[in-house]
Amino acid sequence: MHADDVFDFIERCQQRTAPKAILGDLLDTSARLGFDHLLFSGVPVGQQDLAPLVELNGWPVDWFERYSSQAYFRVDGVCLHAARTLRPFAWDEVPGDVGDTPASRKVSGDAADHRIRSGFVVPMLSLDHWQSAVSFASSSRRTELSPTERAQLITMATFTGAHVQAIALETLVSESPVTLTEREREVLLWYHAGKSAWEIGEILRISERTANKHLTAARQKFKVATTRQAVAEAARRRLLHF
Amino acid sequence: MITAHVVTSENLHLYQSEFDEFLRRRHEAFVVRKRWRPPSDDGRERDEFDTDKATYILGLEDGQVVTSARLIPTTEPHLVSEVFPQLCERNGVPRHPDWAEWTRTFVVQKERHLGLKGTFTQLCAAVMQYAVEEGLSAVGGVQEAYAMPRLGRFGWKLLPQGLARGFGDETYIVTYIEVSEAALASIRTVLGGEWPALVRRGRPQSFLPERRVVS
Repeated sequence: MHADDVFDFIERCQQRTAPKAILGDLLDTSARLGFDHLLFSGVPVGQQDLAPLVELNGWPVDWFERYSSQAYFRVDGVCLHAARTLRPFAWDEVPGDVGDTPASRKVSGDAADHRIRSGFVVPMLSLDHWQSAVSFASSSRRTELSPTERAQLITMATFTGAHVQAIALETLVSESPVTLTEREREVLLWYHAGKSAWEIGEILRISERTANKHLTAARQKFKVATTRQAVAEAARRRLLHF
Repeated sequence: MITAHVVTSENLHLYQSEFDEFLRRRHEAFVVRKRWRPPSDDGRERDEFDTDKATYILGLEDGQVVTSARLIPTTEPHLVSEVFPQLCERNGVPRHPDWAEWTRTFVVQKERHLGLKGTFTQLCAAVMQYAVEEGLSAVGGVQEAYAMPRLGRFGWKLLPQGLARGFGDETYIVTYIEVSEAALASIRTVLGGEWPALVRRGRPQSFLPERRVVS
């Protein structure tokens, strides 16, 4: 692939306002470097859930379902490493302390059963999440990338990351805004971090009842049935920043 | 909230102590923390681009310099043209009077300065306001590749000049940011309706070369 193909991709990308179209184009373009799937997401840390942090989901549906429902992101060396480095890396470069654990090896084995065998991750700074990352995945056994190909992937990933953030902001400006109180935001953040209403109460020195009252208020503001949906909606509306 | 002061060779005398503090903060940020340059004996960091062609935006809070930006016309020698021209493989080093190179941005490391509406976003809003007021078309230069989504987060359009390239542990990319009223409005949206004041003291100095009036 030539550098101009990367710049052409960026120009097309910047014309697009639909995340699906951006995802499709990035999938097509990265396919020329041997990749079949990709995910652009906030990197979950602690007890955070993955699903609300996802910006572009180009993983096979059944694999994403398995990876998120089994909370593989909490043990997967690739995901753990993506939370602690800003240096792009191939999956087989993940250091052993997180990559070579029984749980992480099990995730790799399961991934291989879904024909996902190698990949390349571009971590990025985020103002909304701990960090975010684009993870490119391939069905081939090894990801052999020249320095130029790495540079091409990093360039595509980071400009895509920037543009997806820009259109999310544009969408938000055009929607009627939902404002959360500081308390509602706090309880959602702690819920997102895996805490129960009782635990949230302990942390914020309020009663469990009051914590629940704030969670209910947040659900009502977003007009959703579950607190998980409220977290997802708050994340999409960029209200969950630290 | 910071107050953003525009400092040029014309009004530097009004900012002696702030400018000195700025150079010391730069030393902490770029010599001690990032190790981009060797330490200097006087604990102040300067480079060959600190000339009277440079315009500084100093972010002050409680009388202290907490953030900064340096803008240099790309028609003058600047970091991209002198050190990183190889990163502009797309169309060569851009050199336009209304394109400014933006360097030497640091943010003091205190918790209250972090976050979406924090010091970094405030500084970026001040830089964009200055660029709009001065009639610039683009600001930018060498960036850490991993930092780019933050600029997108402000609703800003990026103009890539080349591919990313690794230098040791870092990956750099040269990109400029389109300057526009829309870009200013969108970052102000991120800040939620409250943004830093841009202060100009002393004799005004325009960034673009003065146009001669032909009579």
